[in-house]
Amino acid sequence: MSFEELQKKWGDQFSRQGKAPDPKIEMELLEQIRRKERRFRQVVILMALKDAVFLCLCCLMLAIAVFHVVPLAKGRPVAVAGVAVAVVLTVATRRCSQSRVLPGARKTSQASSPAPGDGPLPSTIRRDSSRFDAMVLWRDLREAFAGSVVIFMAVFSAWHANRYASLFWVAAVIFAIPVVSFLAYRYRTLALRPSTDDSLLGVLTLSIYQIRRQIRLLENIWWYVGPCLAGGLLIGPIRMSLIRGTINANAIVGTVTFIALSWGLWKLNRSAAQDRLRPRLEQLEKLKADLSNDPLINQPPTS
Amino acid sequence: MESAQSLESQFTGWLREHRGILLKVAGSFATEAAEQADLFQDMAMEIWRSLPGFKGQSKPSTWIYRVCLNTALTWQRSKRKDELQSPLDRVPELSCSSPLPGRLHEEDEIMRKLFQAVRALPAGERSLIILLLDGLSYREIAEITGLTENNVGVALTRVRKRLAESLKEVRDEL
Repeated sequence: MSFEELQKKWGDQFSRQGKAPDPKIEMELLEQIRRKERRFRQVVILMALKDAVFLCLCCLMLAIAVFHVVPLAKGRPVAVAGVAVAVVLTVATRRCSQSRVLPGARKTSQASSPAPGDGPLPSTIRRDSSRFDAMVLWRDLREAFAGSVVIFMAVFSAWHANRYASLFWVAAVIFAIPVVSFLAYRYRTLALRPSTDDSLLGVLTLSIYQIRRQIRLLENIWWYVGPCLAGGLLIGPIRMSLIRGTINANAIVGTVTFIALSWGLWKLNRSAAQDRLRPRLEQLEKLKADLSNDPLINQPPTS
Repeated sequence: MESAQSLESQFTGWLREHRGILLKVAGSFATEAAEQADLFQDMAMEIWRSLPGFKGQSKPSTWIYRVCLNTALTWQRSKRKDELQSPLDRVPELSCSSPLPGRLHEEDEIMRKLFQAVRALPAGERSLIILLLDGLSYREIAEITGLTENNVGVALTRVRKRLAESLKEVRDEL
């Protein structure tokens, strides 16, 4: 069989399937789009809840450490419960976002497109699309809000602290550095979002550029961890030591805890870059090499 | 700026006219019918989202191919690694919905094998062979992929050879 015959069969096959609109199947397609949208919304809500729990935990710990609102012994069970809730929400989010393939969706790929003007598909998709944009915006706002709360707490403390208030001011400025950097990064990333109607090579090149940039950011997470650690140490152990005039065991434990947390965060980000982003980068590089047949692209990726 | 109504009618018209493109890409990238349906929806949604950006600098079919292939490549990357390799023994339900007697059944069998061979190719080469099987010119393929026409020629020679090797076994069977 020649290649031309294969081409003909290929064309015939789809011209045969490209007809026969069926309103029933069309409705099924719409229902599946709605279901997909609902699942996406569930993921976003779970993520928002998880962030809120983490934020509350941070505020609680700060309130216990700085303002001594409740004794540490009373705060501990609440913190443990909060961490448990956050873990459950993380697992639920992951499970929800992984179940992509819809059950009972077998017939929809055979579904016809609706006739012009007679079906609700365009408006449904448009509504879904604007919902998606709104959710992305909401997520950005949420992250910016979380950062702002931390800065506000530092400023509020500076206002009300009797001694060494300047340390809170300095900490507020230090906390603002990663928040502002993150917002600037997010703004630039939005501007560089690949457009699906660009050429395949164009989309791949931009995606590779973005992933490399993200890997660089995660592997050099000190820009985020450093200010958080410095700010935390300033308003925690350093301030305590200055007030008491001596470095006691609590200050040492506090310092070690802050450093351990920062190290954990740094390690987590680095392993995320190694385990998740590096393989994706290699996959994209391979795809680009497959497509372009360019031996230069087959070189190992650099960060 | 085009009105929402005209965008809607453009979208529905294109979806009806070029539905074959979506089916071809879905069938070439996904094995199971449910996955094909999932990808079909993703591509339809992406076409709608990208439609306001269509400048009319290329043919609608070329533009739709771009959107669909980009969506399919992203869709495939988002799947788990063990799902990436399409097992050769799976039947593409998109192309063979029911067993047919005689010659028609034989033709479906050829299509099934062709789909298997196409899906066995790496994703980049798969994109190229879909375009070639659909009879697009080198210039159009270059426009969709972003390669030069010369590169398209070189890549397609390689891909055609690989496809022929995969189908050799099939032709022997048939």
